[in-house]
Amino acid sequence: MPLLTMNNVHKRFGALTVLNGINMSVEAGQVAAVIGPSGSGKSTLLRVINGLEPIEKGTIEVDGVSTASLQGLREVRKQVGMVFQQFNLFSHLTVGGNVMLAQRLVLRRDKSEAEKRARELLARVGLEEKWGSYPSQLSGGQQQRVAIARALAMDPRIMLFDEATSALDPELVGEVLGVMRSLAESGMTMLVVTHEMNFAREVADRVLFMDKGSVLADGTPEDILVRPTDPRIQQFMRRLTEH
Amino acid sequence: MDFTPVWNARWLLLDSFLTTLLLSTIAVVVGTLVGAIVAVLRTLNVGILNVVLRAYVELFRGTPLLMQLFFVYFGLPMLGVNVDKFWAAFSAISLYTGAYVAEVFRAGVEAVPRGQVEASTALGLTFVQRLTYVIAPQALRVALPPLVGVYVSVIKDTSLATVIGYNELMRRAMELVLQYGRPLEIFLVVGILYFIICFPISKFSEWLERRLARNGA
Repeated sequence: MPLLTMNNVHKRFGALTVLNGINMSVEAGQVAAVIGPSGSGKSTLLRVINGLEPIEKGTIEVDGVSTASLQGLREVRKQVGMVFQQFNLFSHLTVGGNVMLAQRLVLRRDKSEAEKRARELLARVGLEEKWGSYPSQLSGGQQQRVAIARALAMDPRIMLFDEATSALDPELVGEVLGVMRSLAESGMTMLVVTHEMNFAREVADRVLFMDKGSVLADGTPEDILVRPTDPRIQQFMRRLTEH
Repeated sequence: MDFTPVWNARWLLLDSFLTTLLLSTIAVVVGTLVGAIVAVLRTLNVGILNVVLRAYVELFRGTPLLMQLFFVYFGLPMLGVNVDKFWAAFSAISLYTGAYVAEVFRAGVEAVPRGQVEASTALGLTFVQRLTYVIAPQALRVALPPLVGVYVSVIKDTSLATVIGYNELMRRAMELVLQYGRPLEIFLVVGILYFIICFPISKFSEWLERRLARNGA
């Protein structure tokens, strides 16, 4: 059984159809990159999974649990970690506080257990010495690595990355991609919206190309990125390499 | 200058000073509670409830406190609701404060970036947990300076309760002036007494702001 299943998912913002009947599934351990022109619905595709955006039609299941009921959605949110373009660290909490908060409140871990897990994960993203720092004292790349640790602290089954490196200065992109790459190698199931084609080619098992709210193509990185057959994908790839 | 009348009336003045302090404290505490509840309820964005809360805030901010005091003390008895001086002063000033505090809190909540709510939602926090652990601490930081501004002005505005005969500091001062003359000395001392309440609050707010500013963004 796939870990994530989306069935005929529709989402509209007013008159604008953003997701137009999405059918897809992701197997446990798979790393899927989602690419496509801006406005094609990539971010929304991620945001409906954990209910940040409600859907009009269709079903979404994570590990067999449907997001249709409030209780199901709550369960799904525990299983799904999310990393945002703008990091969204809690600015009033230290790095340690950021990684511990949801462990305490949602998983009801006691303080020492939450701290132990937080320190492990911060070490894993190379930021154990930043425990007492506030987000404003960190670079964008460091903030994003903390955000990844914060999401991992919930021991999610699947991680969603919503353009995790798009807001970063070019020299900071590498450190975040490095963490994502090692996460992929550790067997984490990942759904990654990205503009980093090299990352998609080297790390993803699978690439989804979205256009106008639909998954236009779904295949290996080789099929989609190197030898695309669809003219719209060819055009998209050409534009990317032009600059 | 002759401060003898002031000195002779020191216990009366102290008594009124404490009355003003009491009225101010109640107005600030109750007003803050009312304002916080209104602000939280408004974040729920429920149609009819929002209209009612908005009307409350706009009505109390859009009319003079003086008129509100008259309305409660002289107007409500016409409807058969009799309120004594304390309750009239207390309820009018608290509701007036609540309306201003609600707006200050609302602005604070709106200043919290949308992404903070999304991140905490994605992590599985409930509505109440998001409010308590993510939104409120950040909103309070933004709201603190204007909040203290509201408090200080409310403390000064308690002097308006004098018009319904509530025996607070300003009323006592006017009585003493009528009795002994010496308006210069008496109002000078009364001014100092108000300042003694308000100034430390402003100072405390500055200190708190600096402390919060040290803790990151």
